[in-house]
Amino acid sequence: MKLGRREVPAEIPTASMADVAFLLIIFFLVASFYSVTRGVQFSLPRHDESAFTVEPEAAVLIEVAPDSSLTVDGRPLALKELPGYLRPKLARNPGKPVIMRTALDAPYSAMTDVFDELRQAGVRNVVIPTQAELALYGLGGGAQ
Amino acid sequence: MRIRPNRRTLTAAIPTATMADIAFLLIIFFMVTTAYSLDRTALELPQTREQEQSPKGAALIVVAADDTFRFSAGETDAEPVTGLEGLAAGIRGVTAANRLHPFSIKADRNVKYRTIDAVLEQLRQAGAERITLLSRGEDTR
Repeated sequence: MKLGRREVPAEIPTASMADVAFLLIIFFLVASFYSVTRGVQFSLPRHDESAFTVEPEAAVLIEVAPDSSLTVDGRPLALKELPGYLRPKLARNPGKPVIMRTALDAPYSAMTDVFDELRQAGVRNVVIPTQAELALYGLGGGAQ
Repeated sequence: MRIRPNRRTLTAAIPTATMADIAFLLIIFFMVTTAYSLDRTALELPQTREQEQSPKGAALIVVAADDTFRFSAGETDAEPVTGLEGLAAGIRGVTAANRLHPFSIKADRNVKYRTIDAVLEQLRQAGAERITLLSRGEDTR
């Protein structure tokens, strides 16, 4: 009896590897989409450094009221008008410090809206003093 | 002269070996760039146009709409902490090891600024410097 010699192809099946790989891609895509790791960055003043190393009159003071309205250097101003107000000041001094004082009863989003607008206007030197710091320098009133 | 027709048979196969190469390249890219969320609390984050990637391994402070806190030193999932004192202890634990350790604040947009101010004060007292306020981009809804 003659035995048949069936040839076995010398191939590694790679079709399923691509399936597995694409499954993993989809997993990482979805995982990266849902992770919240982006936002606005700022620096708190160093421990040994005063929050107000600049003269208050040299800085722009923005006060955010509980109803989210703004007072900039003592004058009421709309959020949209803020870049226009700051632009000439930044042109003269690109490192112009801006002090932001938010009322304790204001929503957090009111503070982030102003902060975002400042960043959009190109302000890099934003100081966000806490109530304890303001009280330390005798500037605590009026932010309730 | 008789021309013999060329009868080379063409195999009907699609070469798929390179597809896996491309796929694995993409996998490595996503593995490197994906930063996993340390917290899955559903919050309504504030919306900002400016967005920067928070540093990898940043400690996470979660402030929910009901003023409850969760904290993670940056390696494990965020755990609930009892009030501002519990949060302050967590923050001090991180800054004691490395004062320059970055922090991220994930807070609900409707939280009163009073709570955020208290958190910032704890961070300032602990000597923390690099802070990221996590937000939602304006284009993602």
